Amino acid sequence: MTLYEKTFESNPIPYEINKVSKNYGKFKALDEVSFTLPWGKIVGLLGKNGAGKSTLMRCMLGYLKHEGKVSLDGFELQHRDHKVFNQVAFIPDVSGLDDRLTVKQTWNYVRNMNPHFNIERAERLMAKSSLPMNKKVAKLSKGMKTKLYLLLTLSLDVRYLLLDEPTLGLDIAFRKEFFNTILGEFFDEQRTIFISTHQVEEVEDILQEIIFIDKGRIILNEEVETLKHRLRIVTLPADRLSELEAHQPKIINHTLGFVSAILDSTIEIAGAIYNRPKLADIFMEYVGGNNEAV
Amino acid sequence: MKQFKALLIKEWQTHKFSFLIPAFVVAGFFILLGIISIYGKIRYGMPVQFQDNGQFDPKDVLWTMHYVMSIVIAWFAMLASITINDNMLNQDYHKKCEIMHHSQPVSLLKMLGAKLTLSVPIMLLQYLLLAVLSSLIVSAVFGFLGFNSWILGLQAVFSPLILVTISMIAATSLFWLFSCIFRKQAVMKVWLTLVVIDLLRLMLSRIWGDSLILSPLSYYFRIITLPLSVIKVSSSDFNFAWDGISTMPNLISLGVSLLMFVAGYFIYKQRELS
Repeated sequence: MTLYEKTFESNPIPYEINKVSKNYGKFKALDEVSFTLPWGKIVGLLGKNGAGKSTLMRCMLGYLKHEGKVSLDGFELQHRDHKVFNQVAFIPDVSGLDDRLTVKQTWNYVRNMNPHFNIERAERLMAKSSLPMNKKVAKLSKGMKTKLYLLLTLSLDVRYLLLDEPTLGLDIAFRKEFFNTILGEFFDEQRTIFISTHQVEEVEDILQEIIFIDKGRIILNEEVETLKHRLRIVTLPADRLSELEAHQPKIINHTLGFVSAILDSTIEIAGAIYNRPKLADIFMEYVGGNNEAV
Repeated sequence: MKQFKALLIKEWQTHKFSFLIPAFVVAGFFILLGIISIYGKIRYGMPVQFQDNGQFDPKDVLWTMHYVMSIVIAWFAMLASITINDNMLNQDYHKKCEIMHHSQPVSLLKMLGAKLTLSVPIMLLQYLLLAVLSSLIVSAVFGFLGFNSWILGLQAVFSPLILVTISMIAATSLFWLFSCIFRKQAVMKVWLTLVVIDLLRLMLSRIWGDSLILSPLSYYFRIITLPLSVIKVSSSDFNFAWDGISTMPNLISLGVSLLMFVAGYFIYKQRELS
C-alpha cells in the first residue's frame, strides 16, 4: 500500500479552499473563492487571461499570502508550508526546471529531495522517454523540458496533481501525448487532477468537473455531464432572432443564415435545432466577450 | 540528512564557479609565478641567490609572507562567500526555477541551512586547504633556494584562522541579510546603504558635533581587516589568537551576525513565489 493510499484510508478529507482572497495593491486577483477538490476526479479550471487561475493555484500551494483558508487533510495550510508537497505535485505554466542542471542531476535531485519519489515508476517512465540523461536542461527543447517535468512529477506518489497551463506553446502531438501519459500513469479513483488550460477542447473529454473563474470569482462549479445536460445549443433561422433574444442569452452566434445561442435545456422553441454544447460555448455564455482566452 | 545532502549537491552543481573563485585566483597566481620563473631562468639564469645583509631575519620575512598570503586568500574566500550568497538566494528566481525548488517537501530552514553551510563553513574549509597548499608550494620553492620554511609556513597560515573565521562570518552575514531582502542587486545595495549611512553620519556630526551614530563603513573595514590586527613580524610569536574570540567587539560582531542570519531567514520566508 502506497503512502497516499494509507493517507486516503486514514484521513479522507479533501483539499478545501474557503473564502480565499488575494489583492495586488488595489487589484483584487481573487475574491472569496471557495470550493472543494474531491477525491478521484479530474477537475478543470477555466478562465480568461488574468481571471485569477494561476493566482488561485499559487494560493493553494502556499506560494502567495492570502486571506481565507486552504486546508488539506483537515489541516490549514500556512504561507510557504512545505508539508503541502507531501500530498500535492505541481507543474507551472512555464517550464520551471533548473537550466543549470543536467537531466540526470535533476532526476537525482528530485529523487533525493522527495521521499514520495517512486524510483521504479520513474525508471520505467525515463526508459520509455528519449530524454538524454547527460544533456543540460538548458539545451533541451521546450517539449523535452515539459516532458522531463511531467515524468518527474508523475514519479511522485501524491494524491493531487495541479497543472497550470502545462502544455502552453507546445505542438498538438505533444499535447495529446502529455494528457494520455497523465491519464495512463497518474489518474485513479483516489487521485485528483486539477488543471487549468486554454486548450479546453483537448481536455474536454476527460474532465469530470469544471470550475469557471472570472475576475477573481468562481462563477460556476459543476459536474461536466450535468452541465451539458442542463444547457444546450439552440439554433434558429436568422429571421427568428427575436425568439432567441427573448431568453436573453449573453451571446448569439450568427452563421450562414442561422442564429444560435446556449439556453437552458428546459426551454423549448418550436422548429429549433438542438445540439450538445462544448465547454468553450458554455464558458462564453457565462462570461461573455470574445473567446480568445478559452 | 538525505535531503540536506541533495541540497548541498544542488548548490554545488549550480554555483561551483562562484564558489571556486579563491581556487582560480590561487591557481592563476602560481601559474603566473611559474611562467615568470621559467622566463627568468631562461633570460637571466635564475634562481637568484638571496644575500643576507643582516637587516632582516629571513625567518621573519618568510613568516610574514606566509601570513599575508593566508589573509589574501581569506579575502578572496570572503568575496566568493558574498557572491555565492546572493547567487544561491536569488538566482533561482532570475532563472525562473524557484517554483521547482520550492515544490519539494523540504523545510525552508533546511534549504537555507544548506546554502549557508556552503557559503561559510565549506568556504572556510576551501580557504584553509588553499592556504595550506599555497604554503607548501611556497615552502618548496624556498626550500629549493636554500630556505627551510615548511613548519614556519604552516604555523603562519594557521595563525589567523580564528580571526579569519570571525571576519568571514561577520562580513557574510550582512550580505546574507541583504540578499534575503532584495532579489536584485543585493550586493550593490549593501555598499550603497553603508555609504548613505556614513554620509548621513558625517552630516549629523557636522551639525551636532560628535556623532552618536557608529560608522558602519569603519565597522566593516575593521571586520574585514581583523585578521591583520594580530600580524606579527616575528616567527617566534606564533599563536592561534584564540583570545580573538573572547574580546568584546568580536563577541558583539558574532552576536550581530547571528541576528542577521536569523532575520534573513524570517525575511526570506515572507517572500511570495509567482
